[in-house]
Amino acid sequence: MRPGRSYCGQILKVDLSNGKIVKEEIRWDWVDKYIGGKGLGIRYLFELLEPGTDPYSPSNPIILMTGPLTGTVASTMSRMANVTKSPATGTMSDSYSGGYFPAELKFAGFDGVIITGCSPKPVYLTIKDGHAELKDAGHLWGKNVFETTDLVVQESGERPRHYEDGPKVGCIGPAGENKVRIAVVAYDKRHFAGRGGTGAVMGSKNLKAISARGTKQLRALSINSEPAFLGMVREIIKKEIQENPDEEMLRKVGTPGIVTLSNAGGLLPTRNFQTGMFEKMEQINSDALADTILVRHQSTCYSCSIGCRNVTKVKDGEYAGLKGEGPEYETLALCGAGMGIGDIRVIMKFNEECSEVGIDTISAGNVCGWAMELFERGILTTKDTDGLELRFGNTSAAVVLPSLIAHRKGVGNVLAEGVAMASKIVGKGSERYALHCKGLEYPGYDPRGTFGMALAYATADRGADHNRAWPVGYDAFGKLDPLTPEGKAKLCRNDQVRTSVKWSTTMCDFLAANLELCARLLNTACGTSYTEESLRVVGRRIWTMARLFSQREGFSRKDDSMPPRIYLDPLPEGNAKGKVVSKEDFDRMLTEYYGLWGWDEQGRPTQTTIEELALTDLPT
Amino acid sequence: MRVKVKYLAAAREITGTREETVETDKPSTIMDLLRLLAEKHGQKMRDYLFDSTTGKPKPHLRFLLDGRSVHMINEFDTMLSDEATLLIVPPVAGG
Repeated sequence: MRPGRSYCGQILKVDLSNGKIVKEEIRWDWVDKYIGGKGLGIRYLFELLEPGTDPYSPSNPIILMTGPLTGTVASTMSRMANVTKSPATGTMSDSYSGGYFPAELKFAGFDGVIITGCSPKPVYLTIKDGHAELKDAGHLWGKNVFETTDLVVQESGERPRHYEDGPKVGCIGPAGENKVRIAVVAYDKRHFAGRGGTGAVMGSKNLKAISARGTKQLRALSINSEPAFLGMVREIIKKEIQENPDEEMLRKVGTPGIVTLSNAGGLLPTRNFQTGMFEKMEQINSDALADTILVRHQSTCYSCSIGCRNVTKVKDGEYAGLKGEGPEYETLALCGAGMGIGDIRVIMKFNEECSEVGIDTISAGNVCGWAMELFERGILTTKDTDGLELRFGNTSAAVVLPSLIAHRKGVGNVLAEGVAMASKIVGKGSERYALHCKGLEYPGYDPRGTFGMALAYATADRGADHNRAWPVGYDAFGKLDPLTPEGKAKLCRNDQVRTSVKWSTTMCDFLAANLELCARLLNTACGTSYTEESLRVVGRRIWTMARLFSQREGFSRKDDSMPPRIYLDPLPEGNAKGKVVSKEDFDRMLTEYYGLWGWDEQGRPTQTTIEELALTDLPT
Repeated sequence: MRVKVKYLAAAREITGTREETVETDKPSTIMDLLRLLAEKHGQKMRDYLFDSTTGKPKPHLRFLLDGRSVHMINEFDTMLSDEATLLIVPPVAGG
């Protein structure tokens, strides 16, 4: 692979403890095995991090890793992995950001950035045209992500007419500064990455922001002017996006279209997963969004032809004038139905509050919904909440919670720990009502209405995650039976192989691409000779490597689990009325799943599998 | 018999409505209903719903009858009941 064609060939390494910045050639041997993005990011983490390291230790790196197609004109490819050890789970976390920052980092001359150490005082990192420096961020500390982004752009000296034309910024808000375990990094103001507290890791390093700027972008990646590649890009836009029925929902409606589906299937998590149907669903679905707050659909990331995002504005009521983007499905589910809030304007307000301070809306909605249930059960009282009536549907209480969490004030100081640790702090049986796996909060599909998601959440490498495997798309939203464990192990395994490859090329989830398309793209862009089968091996390798990382941190079968509600509390209504995911069914799915992966009955990759996947060089 | 039909995305654009109530005076299956909708809304709707080669509903579309996939009931031979709701859904990706 020739540097400068699709890969830059350079990694930027920054040690915040001593301010040392070096450029290093990318590990081409690792590129051969792991491609980029997820795979390459985890491989660097595996190498750099001693097992048992505290996530807030200076030696826990933050790794930003693009892929070979980032910064190319190939639609939907310009994304970036954010990899670190999570303070919420204690194992690896990989999160993905789109927007404009990833492409700009490539234009600036780097495939990735590795940040270690801890600065003695707040700083931000600027990367421009192959060079980098650390600047004082004392005056930025305490500011929200919108203010911070604007100031960093201003301090660059450029005066872009539109943000897209100038430096790109990733930053933390007060939540990251205060090491809130659900803090995220905000790129380009509205592209968030870092479920599991990547923002908190950044805050622990006194790193407020990172900016990237490549002024020589037209010459940065020569692949962008190669006819064969451009022809393929045009073909993908036409056939895989514009004419592909799989893209219809995202292109026309966005993720909010899923609210109606989830509710119809009886799996929309309502009032902390107490039920799967929300009586006010029609006030928070895509129709409500279109009628009430939509300005325009089809806001996009760099070089994207899908345009899944909604630009929104509250037109009336208490929050009239509030502008933003979204909310997306997960926010509508967890922060709407999950908190009993049936007004999309209020959900938008909650969403914007989370965005400003830099916290993950899935985790925020989940932990706030949990707190509301505790309040209604009398486990939390107004003495614990400084008088806040944390009841489901209490909108005035709900909208102040993100700020309380970010600033660790009052009950916010407990919620800031995430639902797993918060339930340990509160005690009194509150763990019974906490929905998470490995410390990462459950997202917006109730597994009692789609059994495969119980396995997907339990086996996701970073904790409960709905994207690595999405069996709900095949059963409750597809043609298979959602209320059986049959076939779900294979669905999860296959999805995890595919997403491991996609996220290592840094392809967006929303492009319904198979491995054959991935192979063609990579071969055209990188001169490789992947086949569908050889890419499948790469996907297996990456996922198994992630498993070995967790194993090294002490995780095992007992951690691939379900929260009590899922196996104890039958859904009271809907398509899955009376259903739980029994422990027997779950164990059966899990054992079958391990077998499909070539792992033993405790979920440990066997030596045969490790050798077959060329993983014997991983540090122990 | 009255059946409510709900549309998302492109189907909504074709029919010009989010939902409609269809009345029929004889027992009907899902297939009967889809044919009636194609007849009512014209060629674009026919092309949206049906594969022109096989004459069957397009395999990528999902049909939920009162929340359940028709594939879990009796496929397109599923009988409709009075006041049922059919949701016609394009494929979805997660988010």
